Amino acid sequence: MKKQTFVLVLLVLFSIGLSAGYDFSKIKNNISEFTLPNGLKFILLEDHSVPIASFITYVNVGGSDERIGIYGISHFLEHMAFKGTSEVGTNNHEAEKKIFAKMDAIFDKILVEKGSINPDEKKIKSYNDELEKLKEEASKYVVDNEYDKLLDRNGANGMNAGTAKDTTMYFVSLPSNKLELWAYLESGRFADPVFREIYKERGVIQEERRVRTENTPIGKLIEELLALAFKDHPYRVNGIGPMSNIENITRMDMIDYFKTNYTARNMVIGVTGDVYPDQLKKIAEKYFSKLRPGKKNYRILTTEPKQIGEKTINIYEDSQPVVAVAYHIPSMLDEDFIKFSVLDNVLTSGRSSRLKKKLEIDDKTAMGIFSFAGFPGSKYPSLYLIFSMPNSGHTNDEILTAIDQEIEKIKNDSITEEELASAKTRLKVSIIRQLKSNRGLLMGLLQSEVVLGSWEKTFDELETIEKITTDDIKNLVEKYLTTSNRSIGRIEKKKEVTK
Amino acid sequence: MNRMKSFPVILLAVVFLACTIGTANLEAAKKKKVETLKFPPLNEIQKPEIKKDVTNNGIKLRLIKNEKLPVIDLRIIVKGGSVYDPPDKIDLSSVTAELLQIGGTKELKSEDLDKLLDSKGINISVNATNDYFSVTLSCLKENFDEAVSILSKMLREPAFDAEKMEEYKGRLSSAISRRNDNPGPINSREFRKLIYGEKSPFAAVLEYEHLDNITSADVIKTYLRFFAPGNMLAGVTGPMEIDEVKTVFEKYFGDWEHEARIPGYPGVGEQSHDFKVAFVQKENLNQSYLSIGHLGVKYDASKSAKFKVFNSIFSGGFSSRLMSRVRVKMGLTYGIGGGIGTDYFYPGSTSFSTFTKSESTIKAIKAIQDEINIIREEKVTPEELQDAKDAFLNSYVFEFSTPDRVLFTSLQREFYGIDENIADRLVEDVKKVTADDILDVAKNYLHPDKMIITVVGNKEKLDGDLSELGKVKQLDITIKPPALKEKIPEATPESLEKGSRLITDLAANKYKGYKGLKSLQTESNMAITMQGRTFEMGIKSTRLFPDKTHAEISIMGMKMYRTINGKEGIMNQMGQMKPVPEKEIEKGRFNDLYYIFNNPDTYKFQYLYEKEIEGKIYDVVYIFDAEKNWVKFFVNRETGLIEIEEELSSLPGQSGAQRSIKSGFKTIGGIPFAFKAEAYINDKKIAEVTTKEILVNPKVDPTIFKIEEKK
Repeated sequence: MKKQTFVLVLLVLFSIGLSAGYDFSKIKNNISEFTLPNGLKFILLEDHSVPIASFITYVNVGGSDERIGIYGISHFLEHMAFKGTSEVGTNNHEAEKKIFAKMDAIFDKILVEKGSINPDEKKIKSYNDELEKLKEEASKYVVDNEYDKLLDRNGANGMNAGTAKDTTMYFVSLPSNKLELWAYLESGRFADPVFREIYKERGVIQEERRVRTENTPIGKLIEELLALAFKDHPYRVNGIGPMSNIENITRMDMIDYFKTNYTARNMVIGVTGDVYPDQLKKIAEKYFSKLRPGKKNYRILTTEPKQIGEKTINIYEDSQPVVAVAYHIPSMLDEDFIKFSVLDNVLTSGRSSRLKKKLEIDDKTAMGIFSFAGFPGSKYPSLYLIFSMPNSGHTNDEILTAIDQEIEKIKNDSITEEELASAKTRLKVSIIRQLKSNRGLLMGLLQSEVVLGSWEKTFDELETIEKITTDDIKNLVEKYLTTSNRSIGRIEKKKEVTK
Repeated sequence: MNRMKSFPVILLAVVFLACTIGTANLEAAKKKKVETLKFPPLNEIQKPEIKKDVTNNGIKLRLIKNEKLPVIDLRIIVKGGSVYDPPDKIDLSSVTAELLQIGGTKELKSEDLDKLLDSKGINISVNATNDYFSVTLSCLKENFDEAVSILSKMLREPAFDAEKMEEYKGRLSSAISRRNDNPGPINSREFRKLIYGEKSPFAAVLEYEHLDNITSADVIKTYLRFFAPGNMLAGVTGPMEIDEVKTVFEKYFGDWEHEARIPGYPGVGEQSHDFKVAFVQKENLNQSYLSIGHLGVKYDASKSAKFKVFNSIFSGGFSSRLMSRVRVKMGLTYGIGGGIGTDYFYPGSTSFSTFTKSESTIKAIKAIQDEINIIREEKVTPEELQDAKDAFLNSYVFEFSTPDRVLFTSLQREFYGIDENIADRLVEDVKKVTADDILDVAKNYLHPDKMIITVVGNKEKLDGDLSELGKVKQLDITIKPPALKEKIPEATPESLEKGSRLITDLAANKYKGYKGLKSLQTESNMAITMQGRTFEMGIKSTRLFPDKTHAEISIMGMKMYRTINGKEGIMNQMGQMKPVPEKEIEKGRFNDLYYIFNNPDTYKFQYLYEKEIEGKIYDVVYIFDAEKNWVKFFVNRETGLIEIEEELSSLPGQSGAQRSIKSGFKTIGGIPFAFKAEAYINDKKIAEVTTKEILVNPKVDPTIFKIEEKK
């Protein structure tokens, strides 16, 4: 009798455990897709509770697809995408086209002169003066911000765009009755973009680089760390690109790059909100059929060879110390990748996490410690980044020592079942919470579609996490968190040069 | 003939007709295709219902049922916050909030509480904003009861663990040390200080001394003052009914009896300055961060629509005047924004901020000023006005984008006493806004002459002199150093060796004059500040080494004498004789450089670390003896001089560590003497010594050291 009760109890407990899994069928039922004849795929996540619609265009191009000389061009193009078309953004496209030709010719002359053995500064200056005059002339044919204004006055919300190493994304939300406006403008700027005001926008991008990278110590650190950690793979270049490339990108470069990468087969469009499948299909066919089919970019074949020794960079700044440690890890296609989410929770997420507890709470050596898997992207093998700021009176080295010690502990003794369960629970709860945001979920779907081949793979995460064991974590740490596999970046407070 | 005459008329008519047809076509061509698109009407907005209730003891509950996911989000607003921080205890509210979150409960130690919450995926956080404390809780539905139970213990029986307070203070302290690392935050905080006044609770910046001042008693007082059931407004979204929430809340909070006592809300006085531009120099920047503006106004429902439309046209978003000019037309920045500032309980900040490369700083500022002038003089175009109104009206639907947004916006409105239906009212008001209204707003709420400009940048790289814009004041943002409080680590053979070497090196080189020093005569002035008053005295001192000192002290017209001869000493105050205790004599000799350099064996020299103070690197040596006397020397690595000393204060009425900063060094007879010394305790200057004359190895009359026997 007792044994039976025992088994019954076990069964009950077991089933409670199972119910901690999540039923995605309700959500999956709201997702549909279709592909136009030119290869452009649409994924729709319906939600008719509020008459709004959010749109994400996910283009399969980013910093990783660039080559030297035009680093930063994907980001530049992202800026250009708001400049309009032959219709939107100008009052006379024929006239401005002629001036473009003249400006490009002068700019080419500048580049030729810059690239000569003894550049003639006077010549360059006079070319630049000419360019200024032409800019003035061209600006007469520009209707400022017309693209943005059209969307704003129609109730746009959250209009934005972002360029990462693996992708360029365009976001906007609108009242759902403006679906056709979105389709008109979005298809227009990818079928018939006009890269006007390149020379002016260059200045804006240079400012952006200064803000993000050059004028904050952490921005500098990240850029240097990437260049350090990666030898061959394009992840080594900061997405915004070096100043010397931003300065010299030409219109021709942009047109070529655009033609190759902004094609129907190389992007996926996500829509969520108060839109119906047949409604979307009709609009899509009407407006997006004109996009060139092109082809989907294949995955880059340049790979990063195994790192053979620890690398370090120390930067001296007029600021407090910061330390970052980066380990090479596989891409999201690899089965080990998801385990890093669990490791993350064990190491730095939550006050009971190992590194947070030791460094922030017990020893009080650190003011904060954070980690992130999949930096600067996860399409290709990338980095697991641990990042920390020491408390006053403590040093980066103390933090590094502590990190090493905790890693050794896991290599020797693994983690406890309790820790694993806690990490998994936190991870599961955060995954479920993320479903609250339609846009958040949509982005996940698009990424899975483009990088993993199917949006359905988004929903496999929970199940996969469930199967992870303490041995998996121990093996993960043994395999990847090794000294020779890491790059360390430090910001140290500037010392005066002693005589 | 007739035909000939009529021909031109017909021709004219034809030409005229042709022209009109032509123009019509041209006009049709002017309208772009995109502008001819027609849209169906918007589907009806289903406004979610907010259910309301209150617990038996006054906790207000607001709920929007949301069955999308088995997740609960709870937010409680508690009136309080940083505006009530006393000026000598800035961020007391923040410490209180953090300790409620991490300080543990009567039942559960902090780390056990952390483990418990983490293991269930329950997130509870407490934060202090200006006007209120915000308590947030998120969990899976299945954990709601337990989560509220834990929350109730955190809020009703907080342990305020002292070690956790040290932990948080440590983080805050580190944050202070980092506050000048990035130019953006420097700019915003300095601007706020100028607008509200640097001591105002709306602008005051946390300093080390505030952390020193904040005690557990303060935290408990703050907690008791604000955290009470009647002062809590709770909002919940999730798959629940209001009575479920009420039941759970009454279960865990229902018997909580306590009243909040909220003090009066602080006022704001308009600040005036005798300069136009406040500048902060920061090297290694190739950009400037800047703001321009003045104090704003308090929220006024009747003006809200006009302000919104104005801000949209002038400075909000891509289509605005400022964005169009400074980013789009001039390409000078990646972002510019701001607006007429309104806040609910206090006047907001009317300001415009941006960043730009150093070489276009003044250009950008002038462009902003120009745009301000333009909008104050000329009416906005009908197109701009209509665009701004359309943008607002057409995006109204986003007020309802998620249940969370609806509920938490409603909670805020309730807290600030704003009409529930304000959103609908705004829609009607926005429709009525005219170009005259906008001109009115610009003229009455933007005052160019009252505007102050802050710039954080690199002076060398600017496009001109900031004084072009008006009188410039350079701000000193040096962080006031913390008071001395540190644990000296155990001395190791290495640190002792290093310290020894350093001192020996000084003795042999920079301070070699001490070897064989026979006598010394000094004349100096000392000013001591005690309890708000400053006392001046003149000191003439004669020393015959190794162990005789005679000093003549003149203070307030009186003269006093102090004589030390070997182990004896006497103080002569206007004929009154008092012996000087041997301990005092010993102590006086302890950190005297003569003894340190001539009798190094009686000391231990422990090298501590190198420290940077105001751009200079110091080697810090901790010197101690068997009697546990100690002194710390800070040796400037560049000059090789002992420029700072720290010791336990020996000044009358003072306790604690005292730091003496020496300057005005002159080397006489192989000894660098500091002709000025300033003493600080807890960053307050308490004494200053200015030396007038020093004679090295003068001839000395030995009889002045005779100590007369008391008869």
